[in-house]
Amino acid sequence: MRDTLPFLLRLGLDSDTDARSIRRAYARELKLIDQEQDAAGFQELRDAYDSALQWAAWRDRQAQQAAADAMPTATAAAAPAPAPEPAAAPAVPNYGMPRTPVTLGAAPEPPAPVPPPLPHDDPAQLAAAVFAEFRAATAAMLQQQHVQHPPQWQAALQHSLDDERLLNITARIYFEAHIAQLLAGGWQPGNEVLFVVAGKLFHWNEDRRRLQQLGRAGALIDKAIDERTIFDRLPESELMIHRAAIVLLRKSDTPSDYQLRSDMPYVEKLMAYFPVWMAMMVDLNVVQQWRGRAAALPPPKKSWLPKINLGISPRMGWILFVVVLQLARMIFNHVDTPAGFTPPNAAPYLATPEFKPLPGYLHQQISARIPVFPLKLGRGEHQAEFNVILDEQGNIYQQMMYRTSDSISYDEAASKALRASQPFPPETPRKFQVTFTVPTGSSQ
Amino acid sequence: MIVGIDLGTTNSLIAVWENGAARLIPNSLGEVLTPSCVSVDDDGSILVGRAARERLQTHPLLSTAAFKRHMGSDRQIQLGTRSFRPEELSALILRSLKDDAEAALGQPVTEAIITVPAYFSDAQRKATRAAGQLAGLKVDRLLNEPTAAALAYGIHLRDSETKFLVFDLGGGTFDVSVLDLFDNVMEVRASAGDNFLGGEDFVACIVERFFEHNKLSTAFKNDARFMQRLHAQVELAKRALSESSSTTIRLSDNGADYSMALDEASFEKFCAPLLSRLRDPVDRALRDAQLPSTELDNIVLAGGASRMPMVRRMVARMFGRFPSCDINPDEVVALGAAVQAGLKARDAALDEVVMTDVSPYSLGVDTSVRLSQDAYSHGHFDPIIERNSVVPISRVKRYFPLQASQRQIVLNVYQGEARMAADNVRLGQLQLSLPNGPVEEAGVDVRFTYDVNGLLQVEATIVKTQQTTTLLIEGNPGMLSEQEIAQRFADLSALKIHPRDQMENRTLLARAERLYQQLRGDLREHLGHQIIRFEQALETQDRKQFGPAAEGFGRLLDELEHQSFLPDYTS
Repeated sequence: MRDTLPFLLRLGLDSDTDARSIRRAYARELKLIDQEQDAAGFQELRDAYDSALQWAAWRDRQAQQAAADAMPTATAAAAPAPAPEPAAAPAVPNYGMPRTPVTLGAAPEPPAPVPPPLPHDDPAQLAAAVFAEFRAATAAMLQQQHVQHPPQWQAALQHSLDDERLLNITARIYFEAHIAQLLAGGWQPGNEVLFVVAGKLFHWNEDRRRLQQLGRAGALIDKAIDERTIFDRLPESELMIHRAAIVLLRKSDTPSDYQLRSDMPYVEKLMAYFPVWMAMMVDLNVVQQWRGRAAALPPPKKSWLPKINLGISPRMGWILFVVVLQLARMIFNHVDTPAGFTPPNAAPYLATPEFKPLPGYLHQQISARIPVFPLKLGRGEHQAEFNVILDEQGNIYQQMMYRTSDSISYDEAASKALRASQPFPPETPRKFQVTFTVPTGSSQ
Repeated sequence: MIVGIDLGTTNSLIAVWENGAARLIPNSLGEVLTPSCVSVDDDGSILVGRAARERLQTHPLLSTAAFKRHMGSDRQIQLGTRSFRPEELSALILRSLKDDAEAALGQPVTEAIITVPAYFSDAQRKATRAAGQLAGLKVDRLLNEPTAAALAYGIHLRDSETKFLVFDLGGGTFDVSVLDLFDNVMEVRASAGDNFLGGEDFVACIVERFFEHNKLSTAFKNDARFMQRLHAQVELAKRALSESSSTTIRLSDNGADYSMALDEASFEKFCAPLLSRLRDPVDRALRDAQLPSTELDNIVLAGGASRMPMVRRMVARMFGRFPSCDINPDEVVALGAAVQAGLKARDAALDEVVMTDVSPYSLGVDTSVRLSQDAYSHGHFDPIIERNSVVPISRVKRYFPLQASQRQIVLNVYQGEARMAADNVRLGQLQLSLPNGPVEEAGVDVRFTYDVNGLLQVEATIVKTQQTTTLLIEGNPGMLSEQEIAQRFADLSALKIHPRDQMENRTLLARAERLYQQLRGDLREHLGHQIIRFEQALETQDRKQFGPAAEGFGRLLDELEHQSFLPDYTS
């Protein structure tokens, strides 16, 4: 640990402090500031306080883990099978639970049976029970009917939400987390309807922030809804063609040659523009099968690539809007891609073409400037990604964040490290993209 | 002297911080609750409070209530020949409270802390501030109501460490705040709410039922007097149900009698849709505060409507425990405003106490998302200040024009949580002229500053020229300019206000008039005689004569109210 963490300095603390002392120091400093007169001073103190608290929580977790790593030999000897993970550390309110790593396209796990020794009104258990009943009800609907009707699914979900057991606020949040998990786990029959219905009943559309509190699953659904919003704004003719392709994908893993020829370009388009949403709408294995078969088809005589105009009529010069490229990174200009083009893996996050990667040694130099960082994040990879444009002197002209690590502090630290690295050496690309991964030890 | 004022939908209160404690100031009738009602009297003077509330039933076209719900809009409320803006009506209430305080304190009152629902928007806050100015008060601070309730509750616990939730269901608005108290720091962790959910909605719900039950034609809804009387009866029934398990709503009109029996269970069933709306804000506040409900040490109830047993049961079920009721929910917000007044005046007893609040909404601009070279998706909301950020806060973000040829940028400012800007509340617009040059050099830094009063300032700086523009809110119907405020202040000052020292008698008469309309037969005749006698006593202008007369007259009204099977209005 570095002794000069600036947020601790601001609070007059050193690195052997704890959360209690941080709060006390903040309280002390706060009383010296007039919030109304010195808004900037207050904000600076507040930022230091938030960072310090996160840092302390992270450090405590590290210590706990170190202790746990040192211990297990005795228990491991007693139990040959890997010991079940202890319940999540109680120190952190864990709304995103149950947190299992979400891999797009992987077959989702069936709802886990609830371990028995929980008290009767434990919110987690209440939520799990209601969720299990919801799954049973929807499984029946899936079996009985060929076509799924949204009103029926909505009624089923509403029925669960009206359940007496979900009056408990915490149980309700757990239940929502279960549903988010189910959706983010990748498509399975019925999810396409559930996605819409859950978005409506949980107000995911009206309230962006709500999803942010559902951990990684929430973040994925948030992206998916953003993509879906853009998809819905396509011109009607485009919408119909693409919807048809999605329906076909869900229906069949053995498309006819004709279908492949006509629909594969649309599928690729969808995969390129709406990768996260697509992973929730269709089985990605089927997409892979289609790709395999499409590659084996004899080349067509003439280009059958449809001209897709995603543009919502180009705007006249002076009607002006502001651009944020934040979302654009997921959505690239593949309009002129040759017909046979198949991205090897339709990874959700591709690099924007004109931004070059940063040379490895530079990346290392910058990364070294990010303090070892305190975070309470869900499991899985957390990355902060930036697109940077340099001016002639190698100073940052513009720096855009394309992906958040889910931690504002880490993002800001990474951003600071970038700025601290100015001026960049002449060999640095004028436009580059750089990704910082939160050290795995700290993301838990 | 700084006073704290709870300017409520149904009732308003005023309080001061004195000798290390908050104290409520009674009005000329000796009551701490002043109904937020305004009426124009027969002689053209303005009546505020109880008398005005009585006149809602007898003179519905000259009286009004619940205008707080229209704050921030350009709605005009017609009372007789004059029309009022909601700010002006609020100003009349504030002025009446101010007079009460000046009479009680024996010194002029010029500064006030006024409470607003936490979920009040920018326009609603500005309207409230304007109302203060119209009443001749310097508004030192707009304080969020649940934060005020928390101050009143937490000030006694300031040396301990505790986390609690304030559940504030008032007459017209619902707010939830989660608080964290440590080392004399009272920190609001999150607020959420619903601006159109309160006790009035529960009453409206039963009024609807009453129409259905008695198969009343909707034509009655245009009969203002009938509606006001029904409203009053339902309000009484609602209160009665807080004490007993069943009651009957009775109303007679033009010789016809209407009634509806109501018990607690059916009341709860009718109001189920309203009850379920209580859940979302609680849910959101807890999530934003990142606190599981089990970590809360207490649930504090505020607002008169939180008295309803079904609301308390709902709270108990949501949290798996019973809420605390040690402070009178009608008074807690005003007491908290007085605590804030003490803080503001740097009272020695509050030396070490600091409070921080949050912005309940996200604030941002609309942006376009680039899909490909020439394809954009417009109208996406990009937040600059995320909701529940600790205030005061200032955040800056850089934006770029879409095209190189672009000479102008239009920034639309929104508040809300939806992805698409159109689904949020538009606050205003900023137009900027851009310098010549490539897109990369035409960046604009947009700075949002949100102060402790919950008021927003937007500033845009063109990076290249360092030229700064400040937001002018255009086309917002809810705003009065400084000039208009000065003009209306003069207009309001010209209005004749009913003399304070005669309010008690005027209120008695208003009440008698209302009862007179409700009674029939002998009782009515008897009351008619008594009213004339009392009016004669008043005309003598002799305190010795009408003092005892008023007392006797008041007792008579109480008796009549009981005899006519009407639940007591005064309780």
